[in-house]
Amino acid sequence: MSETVESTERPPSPPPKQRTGAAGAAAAEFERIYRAQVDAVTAFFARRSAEPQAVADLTADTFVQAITSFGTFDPRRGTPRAWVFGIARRVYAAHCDAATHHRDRVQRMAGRRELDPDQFEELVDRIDAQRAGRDLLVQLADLPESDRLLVELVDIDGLKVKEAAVALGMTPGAARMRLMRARTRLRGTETTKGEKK
Amino acid sequence: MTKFADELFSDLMSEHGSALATARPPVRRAVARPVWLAAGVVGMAGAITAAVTVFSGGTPAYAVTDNGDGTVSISISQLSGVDGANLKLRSMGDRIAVVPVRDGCPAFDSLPMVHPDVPTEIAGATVNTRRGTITVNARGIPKGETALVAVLPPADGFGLVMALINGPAPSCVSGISAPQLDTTHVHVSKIGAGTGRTDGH
Repeated sequence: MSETVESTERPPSPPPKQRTGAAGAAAAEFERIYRAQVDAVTAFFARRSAEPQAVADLTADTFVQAITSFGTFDPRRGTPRAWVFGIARRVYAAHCDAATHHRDRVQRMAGRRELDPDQFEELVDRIDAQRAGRDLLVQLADLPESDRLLVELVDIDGLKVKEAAVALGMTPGAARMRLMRARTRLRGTETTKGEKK
Repeated sequence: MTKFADELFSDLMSEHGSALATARPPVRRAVARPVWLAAGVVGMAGAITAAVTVFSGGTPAYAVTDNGDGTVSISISQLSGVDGANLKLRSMGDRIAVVPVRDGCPAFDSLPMVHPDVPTEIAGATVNTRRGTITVNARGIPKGETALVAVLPPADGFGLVMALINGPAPSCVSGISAPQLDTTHVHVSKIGAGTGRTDGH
């Protein structure tokens, strides 16, 4: 009796089509931005969910929105990193809003991506790697949400203050002030904890 | 990239790549010099910059302003203003050193920078795009550290680059050129004085 084994491997991706003209330049630029940001965006969601499928879906949603709105991206208003993280923040807010209102799922532009075992493992590893980041988010829980995000984007994701400000829709000056205030507050919390020990 | 990232990219391109067919590639910011002021974070670890127009006639070679709140604003519009600015800063007791950028001097990147990853947090430093100044929280510079303000030669537009370093500053630095400056360009008509006490010559 023969045994059939279904491979979870996908056929290799076809070679990229020759890109020419403005559309080709746009595709090349999008690919450059995607490759530079996808790991950071995945980590951003891995700090928020320990569920690989959720991390995969949120990451996919972010880049679907990025690719479909790429024509509106204006580098004069912020770096690609700030733009992508701004999208990621909104995607996560929509995800939380849907959960709060007990909707079955966020209306996705991407649809659910089925993960094969290799991808599942990769995301589990990524989620494990973000354990410290998740712990830090817990420590930041007392901060207002915008301040919490600001500290996370700057101190964990490594965005410049100006980039984080763009991602969060605030002015760089306000971001600096909020960041300074949040760090001062965190230092105070740490000091208080230390004194209690 | 991971397999997940690779396959997500393939899916994006196959399902939504057509969206790029109508998208124009983002226009990158062009560098215009030397007649503009550029300010903001540059692609140099640990540094912030302000590149300012060189003005002739009537413009002070430097301006050092005690803002009265612990911060000091510095603008240099001619290399000849470096010595005067340093004298003034020393007389104010600030650990801030202004140095010219010259070939043969210690490389800027080799300096022992204190916060190489957080340039905008250096000693509370800010750049005033309108006035073309770098403002430093002089009281916030820890003992043993120096806020180094490097002055680019005017060949490609005048510029200031600041970093917080451990120990004293060298008398000059090298390895900085105008193309490293970022490109948020705003035209300025003057290098103004602050609201506090200003010494300019």
